Amino acid sequence: MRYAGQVYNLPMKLPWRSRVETATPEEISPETPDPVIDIYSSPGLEEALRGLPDDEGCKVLDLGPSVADNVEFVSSFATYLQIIDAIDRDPLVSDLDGGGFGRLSALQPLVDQHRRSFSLVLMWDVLNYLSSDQSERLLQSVAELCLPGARLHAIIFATNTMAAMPNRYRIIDSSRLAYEAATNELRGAPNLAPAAVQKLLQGFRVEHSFLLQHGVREYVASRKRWFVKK
Amino acid sequence: MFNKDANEDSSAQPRPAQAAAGRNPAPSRSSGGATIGPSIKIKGDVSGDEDLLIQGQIEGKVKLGKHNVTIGSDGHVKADVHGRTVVVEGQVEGDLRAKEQIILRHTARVEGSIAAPRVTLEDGATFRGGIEMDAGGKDGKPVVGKRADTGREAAAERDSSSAKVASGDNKGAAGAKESGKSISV
Repeated sequence: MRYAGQVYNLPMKLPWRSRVETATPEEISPETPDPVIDIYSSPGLEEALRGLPDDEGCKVLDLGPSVADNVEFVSSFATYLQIIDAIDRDPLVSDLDGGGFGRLSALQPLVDQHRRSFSLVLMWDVLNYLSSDQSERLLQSVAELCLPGARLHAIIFATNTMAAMPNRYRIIDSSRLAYEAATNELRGAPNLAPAAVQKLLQGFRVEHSFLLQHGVREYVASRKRWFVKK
Repeated sequence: MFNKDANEDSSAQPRPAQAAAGRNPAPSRSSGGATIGPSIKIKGDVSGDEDLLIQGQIEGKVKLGKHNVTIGSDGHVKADVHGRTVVVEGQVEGDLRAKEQIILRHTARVEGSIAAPRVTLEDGATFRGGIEMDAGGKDGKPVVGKRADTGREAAAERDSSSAKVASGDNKGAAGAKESGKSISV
């Protein structure tokens, strides 16, 4: 309280909480803390979207989990979105598909139904969590699902360690992604070199790759006109 | 929980079934229509002429094209579900088709395809399958959102408040320009 020419600095307990007063331990919720969310630029996403056909009828294949923001974003330009959620986040069932985290058994019926129909593939934090055999099977199916010239956007951690479970990625806008960490635990990462990624991406030609400062490499590839099925 | 229109409709012109329920309320009926309780298991097709809340288990088909179908948090459905609006809080393995709207609440786990003029996914909902986005909205394009009517606003709010913008933001782009090479292989 201040009057002209007089300042009162007496400690005073306000009946309401000061803005700087912290919560008491009893008031802190025992619930698990919110996931850490970091927002990064995504030149790869921007590039991949730039290459999409202007005409309507674009179909999008998302190999990650369902995220409300992503569905909403994709709905602004696509007529169909297929969500695969290829990496099983439940450790109890993660080994059902022959080791690793892959849930790939659902792909073959999808290939039969949607062969050569997708124009954009979002493959974020997938390859690092699959065995080489699983990656090969997945990408074979993806290539069969895509139209010639379709764009594939991949996010791969180019570091020696990575999160024990894949991050969740949320589209902020056409050039930014939010990374949501599922866990703080780390595990070894395959640290795939660009040449190894190109080898895995059978049926696609890598057109751009972007090494970002937080240890991620983004790839933008386009589906070849034709490829030899193994 | 059911959409507002349904409640308004039912309050304005109570259907005979509801009137009967009001006179002699049965435990298996909710105020908005029929309820399949948590201990009920049905194998076969379900059809009818009123709204339905499913808290039990169904294997087969659910066809209520003119009415609202809600799969409650205890509901487990292995069936294709057709309704005017379909709200999912529990588990569904099958295709969902609605004339007006499909809402997947944050507790929903759905494996199948979705087709409706308006689709709403809440954060936390688990969905695997296809979403048809040309299922015949008013102007030929369906509305897809996180929550009804507030998707964009909520996204903007989250950007500014809860999300921690990492120091690497825009460094990413800078990094791409500085160290990221475009590689043609």
